[in-house]
Amino acid sequence: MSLAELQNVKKYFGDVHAVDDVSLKINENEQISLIGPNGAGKTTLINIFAGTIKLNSGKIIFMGKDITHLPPYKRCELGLARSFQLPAIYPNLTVYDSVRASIISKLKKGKRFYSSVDLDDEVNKMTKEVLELFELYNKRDMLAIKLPHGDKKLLDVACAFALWPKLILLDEPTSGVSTIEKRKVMEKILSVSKEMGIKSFIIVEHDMDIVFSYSNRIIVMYEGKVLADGKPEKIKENAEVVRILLGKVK
Amino acid sequence: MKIDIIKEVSTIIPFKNTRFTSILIILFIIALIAPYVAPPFLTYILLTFFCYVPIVIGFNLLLGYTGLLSFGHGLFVAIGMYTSVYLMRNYGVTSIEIMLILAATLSALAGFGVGLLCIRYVRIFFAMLTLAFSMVFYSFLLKFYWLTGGDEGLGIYTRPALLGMKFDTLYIMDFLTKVYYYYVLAIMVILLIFMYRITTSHFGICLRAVKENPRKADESGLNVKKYRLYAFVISAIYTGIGGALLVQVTRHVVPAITYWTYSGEIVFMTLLGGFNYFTGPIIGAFVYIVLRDLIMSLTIYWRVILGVALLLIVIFVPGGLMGGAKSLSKLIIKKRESYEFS
Amino acid sequence: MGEKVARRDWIKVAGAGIVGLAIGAGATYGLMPPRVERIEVKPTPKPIPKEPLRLGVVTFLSGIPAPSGIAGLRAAEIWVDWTNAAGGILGRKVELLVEDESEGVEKSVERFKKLTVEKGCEAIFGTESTSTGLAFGKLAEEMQQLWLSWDGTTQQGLEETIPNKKFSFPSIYNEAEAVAGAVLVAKYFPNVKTVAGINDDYSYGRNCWEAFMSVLKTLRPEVVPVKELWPKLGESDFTSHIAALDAAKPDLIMSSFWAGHATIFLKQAAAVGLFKKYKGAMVTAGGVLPTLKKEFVPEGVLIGCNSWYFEHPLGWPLRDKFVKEYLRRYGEYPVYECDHAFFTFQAYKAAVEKAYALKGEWPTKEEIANQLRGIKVPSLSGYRGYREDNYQICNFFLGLSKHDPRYDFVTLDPLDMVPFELMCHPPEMKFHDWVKTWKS
Ligand SMILES: Nc1ncnc2c1ncn2[C@@H]1O[C@H](COP(=O)(O)OP(=O)(O)O)[C@@H](O)[C@H]1O
Ligand SMILES: [Mg+2]
Repeated sequence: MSLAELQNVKKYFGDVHAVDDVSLKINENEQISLIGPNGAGKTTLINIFAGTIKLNSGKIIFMGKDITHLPPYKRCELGLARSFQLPAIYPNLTVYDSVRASIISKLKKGKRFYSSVDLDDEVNKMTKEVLELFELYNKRDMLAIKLPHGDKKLLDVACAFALWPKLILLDEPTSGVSTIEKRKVMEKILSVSKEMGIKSFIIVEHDMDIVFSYSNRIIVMYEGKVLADGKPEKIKENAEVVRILLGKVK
Repeated sequence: MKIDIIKEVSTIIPFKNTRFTSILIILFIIALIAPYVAPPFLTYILLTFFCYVPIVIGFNLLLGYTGLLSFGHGLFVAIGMYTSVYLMRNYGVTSIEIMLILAATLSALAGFGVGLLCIRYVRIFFAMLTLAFSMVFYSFLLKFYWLTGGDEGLGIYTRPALLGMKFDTLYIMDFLTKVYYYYVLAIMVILLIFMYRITTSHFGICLRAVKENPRKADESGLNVKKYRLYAFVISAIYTGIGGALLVQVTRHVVPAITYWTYSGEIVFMTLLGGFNYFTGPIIGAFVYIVLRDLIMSLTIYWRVILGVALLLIVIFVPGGLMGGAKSLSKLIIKKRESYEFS
Repeated sequence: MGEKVARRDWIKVAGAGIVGLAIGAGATYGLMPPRVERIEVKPTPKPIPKEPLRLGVVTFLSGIPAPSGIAGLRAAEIWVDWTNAAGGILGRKVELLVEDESEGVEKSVERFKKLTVEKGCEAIFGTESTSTGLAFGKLAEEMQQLWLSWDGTTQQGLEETIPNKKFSFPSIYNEAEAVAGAVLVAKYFPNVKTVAGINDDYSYGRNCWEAFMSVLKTLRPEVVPVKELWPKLGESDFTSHIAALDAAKPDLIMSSFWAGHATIFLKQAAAVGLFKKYKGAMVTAGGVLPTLKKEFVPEGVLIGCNSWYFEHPLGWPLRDKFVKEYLRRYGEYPVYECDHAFFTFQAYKAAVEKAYALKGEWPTKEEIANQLRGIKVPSLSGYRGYREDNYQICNFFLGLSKHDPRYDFVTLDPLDMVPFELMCHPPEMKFHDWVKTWKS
């Protein structure tokens, strides 16, 4: 059974066909790279998937359920988590509390009005675990807004991982990070996901080298459409993809 | 065997900071002896302040913890006040506990109804909508004067029974400053502990996440509207209880409580003290009530003076009085450290 | 004029021209013998305290009612200056402590307590708003503090506050001017059949309209209301209301506008000649009489003034002296609140002196209250007093507008002084029951 399925998903912004009739099947254990030039519609696709924006037409199935019209938090409850291209943080929460919010959500403890979260060992143990995995634990008392850009991105990703989702959507987790750092960040994400047992994800990424070395499936988008979809080796051989992505004109 | 009071208290109130806990205990002791050492009118002002504590901390659960600025919280103060007055006048109820419970219940219901409609909006739209609800209630109170007393308002002529005890023969000021004072103090402390626990609970963290970034919270599995609604209802309950406590002090209720200027005062107290801190609105309420008492007698332009003061605080100390105090203490600590190292 | 004026008789007499007799009637209150008090002889009376006597005033210093509130305060200040110049009360200098009433009941109640508990004021004067008045009535009894009200008493206030009042001394109630207005409408405009009302949409406006209509219908059963308009207090554009009034074509337009909006209304009404077409009864507009210029107020409009400060055939030296002083200090004429305020201080001083004469030492608040009941003192508009049930007694002045070349605003001629008994119900009755008795 597939983990998720997009059927003829469309999203237009006026004349711009940001996502134009995309159909995809996503299976468990797939580490997908979603690639494509700027403006291809990658972020829009992620947003539609997560419920951030409404689609014009199409259908989204997740875990065997039609989630097309479910609000984001319900999709999250089903096991779908995401991070944002522009890092989404809780500016005036500490790093620690930011991750704790996700953990509480995961454990469905948000309606505990009267129990001290500081004394909740389960929550704090899990928070510590996630923060240590992302090497953010020593910055736990810093306000999120005070973090350097790279750490903000990492925190955003950590918050998504802290939900222990079945499928995670990461929108350019390495954007704005130097090329050397990029590799580190990617390795971190991959190792953490292994550690946490999160097997399926879609990563939006630009860097070709990274894309080809860390994923077992690549989806190429261009002008709202899926241009190519397949194993990395195959995509590499696709001349059109190479032309579009690398701007190489024959 | 030595009993460590601070540790004992810490088990009920999970403060991390023991210095903070000891300051609180000292303040509590001052509050306990105040009626016997302070001039009666000062005690009376303190009593008024105690009644406002549930109102401002209730209000700040919305502003400081949920990020929603209500400009109509006078509505819930009024519900608390009118409920008590109605019970006393029309149903001969004397037990203040019944009044408080009913005030809390009705505020919760009203908070649920109003909240349901308001939480769809944020920022200025939320503020305007809460203001509108309050003003609708204001018009209602004026229009249905045969029920509500209209602009004249309604007075109460009997005294409440506290825990079943009547104090009808005491001089009113003695009743207020020597008996009712302690009753309100006790309720205030209980409500403070509850609120502190709420803000440090699992729910509290989620609320702050909702405040800081509702979209991210939504995508992290938090039902933003539901959290806002819960906060709104809790806030309404607190405010309603504050109103029910306060009306025994003013002994009269008028529709002006639901007018936007009154709600503005609640906002004012909270901003003055600093809405980013648990203690901010409490300190704001204290400073505001004491300053108001002093300046009001001197000039009719007291609003202007306090307004300018607030403006300066907002511009130069955005964290309010608490924020200012915090950065000042940080500065001092830093200085001290640099001396030690040099 | 007898001690008790029968209503029907009075209306007849009034027709014959009551003006000259009026102040005399007021003066008869002062001739009633003082009540006999048992004198307790104490061995060594305590000396009169040396420190100044603090008296608190709570009135409107800002907001819509501020002009009359400040006028009342000015009268109080003039009274204090005169009294202190003459040696104070039993040798004690008087000090006024003033607080603003405009911040609403909650804060006014706090102010009352502050003045009483912290500042040690021996009595509280003032209040204009009905809500504060209602709250203070009860507060005075609870705090066992004397309170002499200037204005704003309602039926609710009279009926509801503790029935046997000890410390609170309410002002004459709000409906009084409407009752007086209705009586004079019956007298001057006997052919009125249809009435339109424009009153502020709050208790004062409502109560005035109700009282006016119920009295007028009692005197002239054929009268019917044809239009009721309720603009919001603070409204300043009445053009649509004026059009509606004009369309209703009533015989008479009644209004209880009492502040700047009375002036604005009359000005805007003049544009369509409203009060040239229809009779008018502005039962409280005299509060701003000096602003009612001749250009926009025609002759023959019934205007109620409560107190009278202008030319008067009988003369009243205290009033003349006061008006002169007021004009000198502030360059304008006094308004009704001056008399209400001045009277409360006059009464307080006289009560203290009477109680002292009986006891030989500075009296307690309770003893002062005992002397206030039944007291008669000269005030700006003649004699005024307090009834045995703490209720204020005074006469009101109403009349038809006249263009007198000596003033640029309208004055009243003929001027009627309506005595207290005609406007206010006896203590044992409720207002509406009392109005019903008029038929018999
Ligand atoms: N909210 C929006 N309003 C209008 N146009 C939008 C909006 N969001 C995205 N677009 C447009 O949709 C197209 C796809 O954008 P996006 O999904 O952000 O691309 P990518 O993430 O692949 O760079 C772009 O042309 C962009 O300008
Ligand atoms: Mg993008």
